Amino acid sequence: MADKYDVFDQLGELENTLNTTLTQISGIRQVLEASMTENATLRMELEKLRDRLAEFEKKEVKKETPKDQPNPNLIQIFNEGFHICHLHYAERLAEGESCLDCLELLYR
Amino acid sequence: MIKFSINKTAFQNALKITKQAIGSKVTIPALTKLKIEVEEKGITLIGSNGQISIKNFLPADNKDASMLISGTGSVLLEAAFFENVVSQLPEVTLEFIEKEQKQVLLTSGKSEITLKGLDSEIYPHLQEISEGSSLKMKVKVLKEIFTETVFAVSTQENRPIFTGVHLETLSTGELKAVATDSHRMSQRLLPLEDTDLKFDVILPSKSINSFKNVFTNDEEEIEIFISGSQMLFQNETISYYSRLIEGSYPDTNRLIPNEADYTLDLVFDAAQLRHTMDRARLLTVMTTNGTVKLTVSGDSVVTTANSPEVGSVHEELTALSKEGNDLSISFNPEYLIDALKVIKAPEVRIRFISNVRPFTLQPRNEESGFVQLITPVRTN
Repeated sequence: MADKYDVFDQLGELENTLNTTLTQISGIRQVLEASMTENATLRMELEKLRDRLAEFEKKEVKKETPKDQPNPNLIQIFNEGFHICHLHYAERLAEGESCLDCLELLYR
Repeated sequence: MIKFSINKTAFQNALKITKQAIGSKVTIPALTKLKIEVEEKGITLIGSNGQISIKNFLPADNKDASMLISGTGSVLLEAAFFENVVSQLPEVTLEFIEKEQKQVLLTSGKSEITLKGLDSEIYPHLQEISEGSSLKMKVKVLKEIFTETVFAVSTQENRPIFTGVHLETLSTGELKAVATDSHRMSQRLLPLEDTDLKFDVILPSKSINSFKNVFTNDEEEIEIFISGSQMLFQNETISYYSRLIEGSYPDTNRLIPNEADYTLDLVFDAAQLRHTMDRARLLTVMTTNGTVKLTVSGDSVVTTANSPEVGSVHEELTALSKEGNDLSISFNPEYLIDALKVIKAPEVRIRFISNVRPFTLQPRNEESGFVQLITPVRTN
């Protein structure tokens, strides 16, 4: 029954291939997650810098958003599913997941 | 050389308490052992897993133990195995005799069992606390504030400080206990009797869970000591040491909404609300991130839960009192059930700000001391 061993060989190969693929997928997922986190960080940084720039140019802080309205850029990033709190800064939120710290930052 | 005889049940009960601290997954092999110290005044059983350490003293004059000590010393025995052996002994009393090379002979009735022990010198030295100021408290009270908070701790190990309950003495003379996993929070304030002990510590949830099994007499008073990285709970015979989680806990007061911000104030029968949530959960557990929606419009309060594959539930709730604006808010029913489980008052007061802000739960008429926060589901 030589082909019996053949089947095992093939299965073994397949297993190895799948394992390699799995590693690749995990790797890609991690890269994507890191990029998304970085992207969110950069967007928040950019927003801060823009505010700063506006301050320099107009010599005064523009207060177009009333005090009780959350920062629209931050809330957008939060709604897209990223932490905006210091502790988990720019980390991903699961679907529907919320965070006490983020909410406090947005609405305080 | 150790030699004593003792009532089996009394000895077994003492073993059970010490065993709470002994685990199989320990980094130091000696910690899988039980340390038995025999002095003329009594027997001390010591166990530790590196995080929790328990010293349980059985005094020689204990009435139930009918102890007779005729030789002193100390020895290490494999904890789990020793406990099994003792529980299988045939008679009501047992005799414990140390032989040469740390061997132990257990006799009970016609049965004789020899166990191999180890020199107690290899057991790590446990850091002790005995000096300094302390806080006295009833076991029942302490268990109560533990139960009311510990369920809300985070299970994620990557932020260790949130896996414990934050205990802090306030300048107002109160003890604050708080736990959060950033989705919900539970905070309890307790007025303290005069004490010099001031602390700000994070006690691991595991220590809190085994605390309940170690101190079983709710009516007795225990003393709390703190030194550096350890907390000690002590009664007349048991010393329960727990390591503390390092780090500083963030200020949670800022998370609690201002009274003025609330727009809706509801009061429910706690048991009824819990049953409603239990029914809603039946459907939501079938889907990931299953949520229940609470809709308040005019005088009607309705909960709905939808699960595409399973079905849907619609239930009208009776609010005992209602004040404020209409609202529609979605949240994980699991959080509300957990929260209601620890509210002993018959009525619960829930207040909302908006559908994206956390809402608060408080036992009605006892609002000041106990508050819980739950975040709604994030929607785009």
